[in-house]
Amino acid sequence: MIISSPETSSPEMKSIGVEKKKITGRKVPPILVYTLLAVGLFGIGILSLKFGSIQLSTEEILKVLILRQDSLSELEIPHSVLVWNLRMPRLVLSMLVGACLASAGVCIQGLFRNPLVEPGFIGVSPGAALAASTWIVFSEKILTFFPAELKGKESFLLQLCAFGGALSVSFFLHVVSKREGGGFSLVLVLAGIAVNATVVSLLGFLSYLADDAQLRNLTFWSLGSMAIASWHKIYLLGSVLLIVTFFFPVLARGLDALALGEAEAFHTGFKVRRIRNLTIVLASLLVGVSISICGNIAFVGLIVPHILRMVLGPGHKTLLPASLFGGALLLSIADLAARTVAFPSELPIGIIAAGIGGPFFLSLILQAKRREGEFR
Amino acid sequence: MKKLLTLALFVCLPASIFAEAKDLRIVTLNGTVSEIVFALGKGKLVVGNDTSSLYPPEALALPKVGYQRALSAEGILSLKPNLILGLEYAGPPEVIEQLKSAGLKVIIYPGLPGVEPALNNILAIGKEIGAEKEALKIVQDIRKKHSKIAEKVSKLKSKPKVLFVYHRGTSLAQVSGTETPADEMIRLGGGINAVDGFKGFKPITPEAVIAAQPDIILIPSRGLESLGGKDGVFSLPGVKDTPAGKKSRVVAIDDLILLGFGPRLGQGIEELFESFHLKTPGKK
Repeated sequence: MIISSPETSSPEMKSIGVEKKKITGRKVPPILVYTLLAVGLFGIGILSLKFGSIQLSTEEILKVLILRQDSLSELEIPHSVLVWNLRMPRLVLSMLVGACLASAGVCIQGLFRNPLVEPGFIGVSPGAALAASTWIVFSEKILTFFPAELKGKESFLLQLCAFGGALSVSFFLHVVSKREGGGFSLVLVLAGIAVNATVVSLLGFLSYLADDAQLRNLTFWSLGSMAIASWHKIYLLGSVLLIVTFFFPVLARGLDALALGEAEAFHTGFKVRRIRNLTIVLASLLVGVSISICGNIAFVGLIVPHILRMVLGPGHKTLLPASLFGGALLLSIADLAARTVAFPSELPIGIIAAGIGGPFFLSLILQAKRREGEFR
Repeated sequence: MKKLLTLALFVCLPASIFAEAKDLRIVTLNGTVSEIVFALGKGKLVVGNDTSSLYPPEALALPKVGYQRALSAEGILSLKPNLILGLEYAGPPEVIEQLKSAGLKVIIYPGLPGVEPALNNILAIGKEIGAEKEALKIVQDIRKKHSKIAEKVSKLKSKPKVLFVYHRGTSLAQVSGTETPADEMIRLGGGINAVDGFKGFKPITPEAVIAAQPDIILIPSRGLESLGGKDGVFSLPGVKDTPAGKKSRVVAIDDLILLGFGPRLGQGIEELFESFHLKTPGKK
């Protein structure tokens, strides 16, 4: 398993007849990619604020954004309420969740040295969802002596549990796949399937124990939604992401070194174990907290790093921040689609993410299969 | 002059109330609430509802804002309502908060199964949309039907054991324990819930179905449809070997009449009593 493999055969290159070549360096200057992502994010931001029950003009949006009180006119629903209470929280939350999941995707791919894994299908996100669900059901059933504000869905302990769930799955997978000696981690994928199956059965058991109200909370994990956006949740997730970004330089150097192989990294002077543990904790933190807020959204952590690795190369110094912005862009597009496609109803965002992600993943597998030796 | 003023006041007062009621744009978030608003004769004021609003047919034709438990604020706002009515299941809670923060009048009623809570909801909604008289009429009608049946039920010497089966498609079959709308309706109709070992709905094993020994299988019409009729019910594992299976007694009643606790509650109680007690083969 070679970390630099996915960028060797982009479909565009094939279509214009360029020979497959192993390129380990960058293809596109990072500054250009960052600019494009920033422009894209700004554009999607404007579109998201524009469309909905009442279509706002760009001028009106800018007016509301700059002069907040000004537009509190006698309109039926003031534009500032529309922008600040309804659309902005959704937009910001979907960007944050996308950023968290995509960065976690890069970390986990780097950690397991396998570009085909993603927190969603090796069981890390489902693990987080399971822990959170367990908390919802048991905090109300068993911990009856607990103060009410610490129980159920509104408590910060929910986030803590989700983090714990993601962390335990990551550590378990790490221990299992390490034994294999660092080749293509078939064991990792199989263990991921096993974890997923276990989680599904335990979730089924929980839904059996749950009462009607809890059941509603549980079904929420399966597809995810941004309808629950509130500024409180944004501050929480935002601070988690901010904390993790402080570690980006360390993570980038560490993951680059790990890409060489653990022994090599060790001999070049890296504290391999420390880097590994740090990566596991930070990735689990990102996955756990975002999953606990908006439900299980898969594939973001796979698609974004993949596309960006194709254009930027595998170096984590550029890949990590680029994925952060790329994830934000992808999920904000998905949310815009989720709330406009079936208007006035709403599609679960997980359906859209999986709808794009499933076929994409399949095409990746087929590409990898074409490059012989990938699946030994 | 004074007379004229009084007269003017009398003319204006009802007119203003009328105008206010007419300007209402209501979105209902639950099938029962929709049914109540239509039964109160204010169906024309409803501009949208949720996917559980299946009755009356006019309600079915309105724009849908999603299922009551997975609503989106913008979708509801797009219908430009000024009154939003729902039961406590409406959610997610964040969306209800968003609607309130947008300055809309959102009223959420309790969703407890039972005659009194149902009547309270009808009265409260009637008051809210300016149809108090109509609400009172419906409430009196339900009370009359309910007390008539309650009297008959109190005189019963034996009550049949009723198993409520909730069924969708071919795989999901659950039965109702206690503290559910179905449990309450069985009691009101003069039956005994055949399973009382747990609260809420649970999937049940064929052995437990047989052990429960129900005399009657109760099923919502849509559930019966999805099973392909009565034969489908008897093909559910275990059902054939119960008294209900042997006497082939299945009672199917429209979902919203049976479980909605709405304006057709009285009719539901009557229908249940009749099918539990009068239509017995070889009449008692």
